Amino acid sequence: MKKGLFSFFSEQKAEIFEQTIEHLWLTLMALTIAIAISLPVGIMMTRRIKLAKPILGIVNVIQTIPSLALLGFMIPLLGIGTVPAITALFLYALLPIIRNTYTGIIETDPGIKEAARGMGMTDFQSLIQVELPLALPTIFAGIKTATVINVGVATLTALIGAGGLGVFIFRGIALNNVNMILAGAIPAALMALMFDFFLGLIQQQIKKRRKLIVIAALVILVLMLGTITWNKLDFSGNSFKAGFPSEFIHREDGYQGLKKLYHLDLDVMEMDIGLMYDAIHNKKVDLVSGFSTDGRIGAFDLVVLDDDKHYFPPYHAAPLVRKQLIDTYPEVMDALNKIAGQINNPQMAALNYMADDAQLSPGEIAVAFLESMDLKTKYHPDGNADLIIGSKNFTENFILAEMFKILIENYTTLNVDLKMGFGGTKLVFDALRNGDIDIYPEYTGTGLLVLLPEEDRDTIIMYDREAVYEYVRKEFRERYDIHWLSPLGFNNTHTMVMRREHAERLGINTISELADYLQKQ
Amino acid sequence: MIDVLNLTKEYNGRPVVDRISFHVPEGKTFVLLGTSGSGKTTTLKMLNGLIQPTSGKILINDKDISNVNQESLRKNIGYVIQSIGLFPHMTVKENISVVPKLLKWHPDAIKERVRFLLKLLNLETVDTESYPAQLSGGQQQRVGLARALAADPPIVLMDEPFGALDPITRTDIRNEFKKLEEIINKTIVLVTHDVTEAWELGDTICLMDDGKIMQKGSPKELTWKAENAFVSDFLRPHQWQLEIMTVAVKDVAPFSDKEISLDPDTSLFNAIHTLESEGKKTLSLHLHQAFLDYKTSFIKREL
Ligand SMILES: Nc1ncnc2c1ncn2[C@@H]1O[C@H](COP(=O)(O)OP(=O)(O)O)[C@@H](O)[C@H]1O
Ligand SMILES: [Mg+2]
Repeated sequence: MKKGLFSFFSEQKAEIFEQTIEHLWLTLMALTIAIAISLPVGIMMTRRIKLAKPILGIVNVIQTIPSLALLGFMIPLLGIGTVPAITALFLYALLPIIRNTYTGIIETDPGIKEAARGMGMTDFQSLIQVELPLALPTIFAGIKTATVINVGVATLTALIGAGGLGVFIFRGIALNNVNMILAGAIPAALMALMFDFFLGLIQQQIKKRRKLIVIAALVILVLMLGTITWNKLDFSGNSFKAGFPSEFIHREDGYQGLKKLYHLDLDVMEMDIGLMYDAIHNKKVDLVSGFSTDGRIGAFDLVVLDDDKHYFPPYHAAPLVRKQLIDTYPEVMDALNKIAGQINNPQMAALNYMADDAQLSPGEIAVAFLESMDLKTKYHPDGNADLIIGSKNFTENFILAEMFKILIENYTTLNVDLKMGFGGTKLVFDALRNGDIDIYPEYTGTGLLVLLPEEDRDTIIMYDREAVYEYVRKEFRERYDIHWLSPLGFNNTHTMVMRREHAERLGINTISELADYLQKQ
Repeated sequence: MIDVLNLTKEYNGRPVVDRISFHVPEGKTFVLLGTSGSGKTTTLKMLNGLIQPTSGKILINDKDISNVNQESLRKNIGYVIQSIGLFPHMTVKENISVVPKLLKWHPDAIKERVRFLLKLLNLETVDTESYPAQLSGGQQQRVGLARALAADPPIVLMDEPFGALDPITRTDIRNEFKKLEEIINKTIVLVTHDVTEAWELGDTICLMDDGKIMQKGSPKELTWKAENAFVSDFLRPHQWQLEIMTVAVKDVAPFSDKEISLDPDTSLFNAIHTLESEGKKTLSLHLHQAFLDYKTSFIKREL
């Protein structure tokens, strides 16, 4: 922890406040809908006992679905954002309220129910004047349970782009920043405790001044919801929305720098990488940050905005090889160079798409590509390896590693083993330096920004493809005894992506044009 | 006022009330007496429509109750339920006001009525804003009675109204109850398993067993003319008491050689009770003797 928790909190207080309000809103909105539906359903069940069992069964089953899975189910049905989030929270709130309404009324002392009927009350009068007032503490306990559950589950809705305090938690996990995790976890825990405390207090008091308390609680609920909703409506006046993953939002070389350079003022929604493409495709957002070789850009008919001020550094892929290996087996270099400069962006995107949507294995894709280049592609099983090729944990890196293996095994006499899926750049690079692996596919931009120290960066021309490549090549050889072989051709850099139809309608081709457009709004 | 004809209630084909018939004249108290499970409560609840009979008829003022609106039927019949059944979330005042409110009485009239009933039932010391849980058992029972009487119904059904009380409180409340003007003119059907209570309060007593009527008649008739072995067996443990309850001072006066300076209409039971509590042992013994002589001559006459 570089900074103290308190200074972090005071720096971030505006956003913590905003996400707390968002969290509260999600919780209360779901709760209000759940109360509005559960109360009549619970009451109806006491009048149609035959329906009670199946209904309780259904809401019980819903309750047993793990929250992540339930949120997952929501995406194909309702997409992402607040609607599916509130729906999921609503579903979780059903059981405690329905069950407590039902049992609260059913378990009214039969003598008292008989007295009500014996006095000449109609069924409805008995319900309103006797059974409901007596069931109120039980019903309230159910509402309390539902509220506390909702505050907890609402931390997960950040995963489907609905915001809330979970935003800090997941961002903190992604960036390995404990303060940030706590910035989400502490307010969420406090909120749950406060609800528990105050609703518990009301629950105790409700036996005495029930009318007053019920009316007061309703008024407060409606006021809170109304105020927040009103403010949200104001916010959403800017209808152009962006969806970025949390790491991109917070890195200096991500959205923060982009914003400064282009004077870009975006309404940003935080979302998981896996959801971004669905989100833009389904018009939940209008702009996402992608990678230029992502297969889904073509598949979803999206366009990449031109980075006309050259903000994003080039990320040219090239094999990274230990010097020792080249000294021992110089033929490896020739084998790998057979595809140097041979893969352009659309080609790489197409290959990635084959893995993501056509569900082919990286090995199958590598073979297919090399065959199309009239190269030999005999595939050797693992065993008796002379060298080991590693990869990071994403599709494109898998495909490239497979290509390297096939090339080396077909154009040298060496045998290759694969060690795929290292969890991060640092891990795979350390493995290479320690000699656990001998080769892996790396990107020049990553080499520059992640693997080399910060000091010298400004002195070189960061946005010039040749300059960056030359710089990392020189530095890696001197510092680490590691060689960059020739780049493969494509540049898998960060990009800003819009729907093609949308971009064409607004006449936006570059990020500057987007910034201008937003400024005019 | 109330006519019950061949009334039967079956549960799962088993009759728990079995073809019973009786008549309750206006202003009289009719007691359903019997052991637990004999069908008393079931019979009572059929009278205000809380239980639908399997067969048979109930007429109130010559109208079949199955043809009238059940809620308005019940609003016009006072009901004291076995478990008291006060509404725990309502104050004493609100509990008593329930039926007048349902009948849409004017708030002032309700207020006045509540005050009247509280006074009548010796509940003046009770805070009308207190809740049932804050009251003693006896007070709760009285509030239950006040609630049943609130709308001044011509008919009142009472299911073991003094059941939940200790014996002493029970005798006290019963004695007060007997004297209530408010009660005297009403037609009352009262359920009890307590023989003394039945004899004290009933104009007509209907002894039930297993859903059937074993005998119905005045206390005197049941005491002195048991119609079957069940009745005499049932009453035997109480026989002595019931006899002195059904004989008045004036009945035994001819068998006494001393002047008896007691109300001639009071029952022997009450007379002896009064004398004992005043410490007049000899006089009490003397009355006993006179009663025995009366009984001997009575039996001789019967023979
Ligand atoms: N809802 C019911 N279902 C089945 N049996 C019942 C029901 N209510 C009462 N009974 C039976 O009917 C009989 C008479 O009950 P009840 O009228 O309550 O007796 P009492 O009031 O004389 O003690 C009892 O044997 C009781 O178990
Ligand atoms: Mg009973």
